[in-house]
Amino acid sequence: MASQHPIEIILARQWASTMSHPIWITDDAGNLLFYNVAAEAVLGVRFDEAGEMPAEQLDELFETESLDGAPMPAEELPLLKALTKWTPAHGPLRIRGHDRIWRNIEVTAIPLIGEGERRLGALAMFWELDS
Amino acid sequence: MRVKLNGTRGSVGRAGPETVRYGGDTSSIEVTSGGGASLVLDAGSGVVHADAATVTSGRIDILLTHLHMDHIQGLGFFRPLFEPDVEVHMWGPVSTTKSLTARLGRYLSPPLFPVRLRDLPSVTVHDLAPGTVEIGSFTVTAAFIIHPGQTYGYRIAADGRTLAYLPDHEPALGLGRVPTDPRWTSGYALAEGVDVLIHDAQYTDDEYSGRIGWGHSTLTQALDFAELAEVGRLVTFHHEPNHSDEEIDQHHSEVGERRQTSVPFEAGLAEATLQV
Repeated sequence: MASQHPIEIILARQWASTMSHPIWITDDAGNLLFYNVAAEAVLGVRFDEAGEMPAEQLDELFETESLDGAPMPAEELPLLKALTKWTPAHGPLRIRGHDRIWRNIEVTAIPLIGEGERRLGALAMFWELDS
Repeated sequence: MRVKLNGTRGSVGRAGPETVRYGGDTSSIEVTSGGGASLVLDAGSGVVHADAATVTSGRIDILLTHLHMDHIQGLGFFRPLFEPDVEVHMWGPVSTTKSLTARLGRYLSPPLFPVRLRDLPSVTVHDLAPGTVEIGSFTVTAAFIIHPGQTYGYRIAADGRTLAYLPDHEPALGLGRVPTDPRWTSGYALAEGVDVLIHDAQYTDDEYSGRIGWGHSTLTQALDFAELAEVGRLVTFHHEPNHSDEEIDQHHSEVGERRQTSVPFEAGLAEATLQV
């Protein structure tokens, strides 16, 4: 049968599409599945142009560092914490997308666990701290 | 594979002279393989018309899509459940919070019903995880689909044929239309390329606009979904209780005239038998 996303992921995307704050959705391996219009403003590229993307290619889409400009280990990123520990995670960081502008943001990431304890992916919401 | 539609009505029974052909009984179908094995899908009030309702020995498998009343209300009146020589296996969606036994027990216990589930002579309840299981000569695939609460659609394969049963399904939720990308369409993997799709088509387009999120589809949406999944034939199901036979005929006729479709479709008739 053809690959089809679980309905929890489909519903998460439809919900995210209606929200005014940035939302990013990945599968359980961290592959990018979707980000909404509000996230496009932070990343500097429309989702329709970027498309779904394997986790190992995400550094082409953005860079991150700590608020003081220090390198940030990947395992410290809230989204990766949600995907590896399967618990919610929250934290501040700086992000630079295609427009090459560093932005300070706070990220809240939650794991998406479906009925039957299926580990489906994670969802990250983020807010710009200043502009 | 043979499919008997024992109850095609959605939401609540509607018996009367205006619902004779499409029937007043709620959701239940029976699938029989060439070898004679059978499965009962859902146990709305129509389950009493199943061929399996008369057996007094052997094994019966009942697959529940979900536990809304119109899909389980016939259970207490399904005689094989009270036959000591009939081994009944009930399968339904797994839940993180309560076992299927506990959830079914809320109906099959006082004050809603006089007999408790645990007092039935030979019933085994299976918390079915999403995926594929072999039940007798059938290959059954269960997957969650969009409908309030944990709800499965089923894909049944036997005798080299396939059937998809999605009686309560709202793939248009959130978009207002059925998606055009299969990967982002609820139920697609179940329905892809099946010979026969039995699918929710409860509402007219006008009715849907006031019932978004209730978990059901229009005939137009069911056809969009059937075309996307490239099914061989669509049988519409879960008829709106307020629709008479005449209204169902008229609506299917109007939609058929309005659009060119590659998928033959028909409204599911009460106690009709389909050859897959």
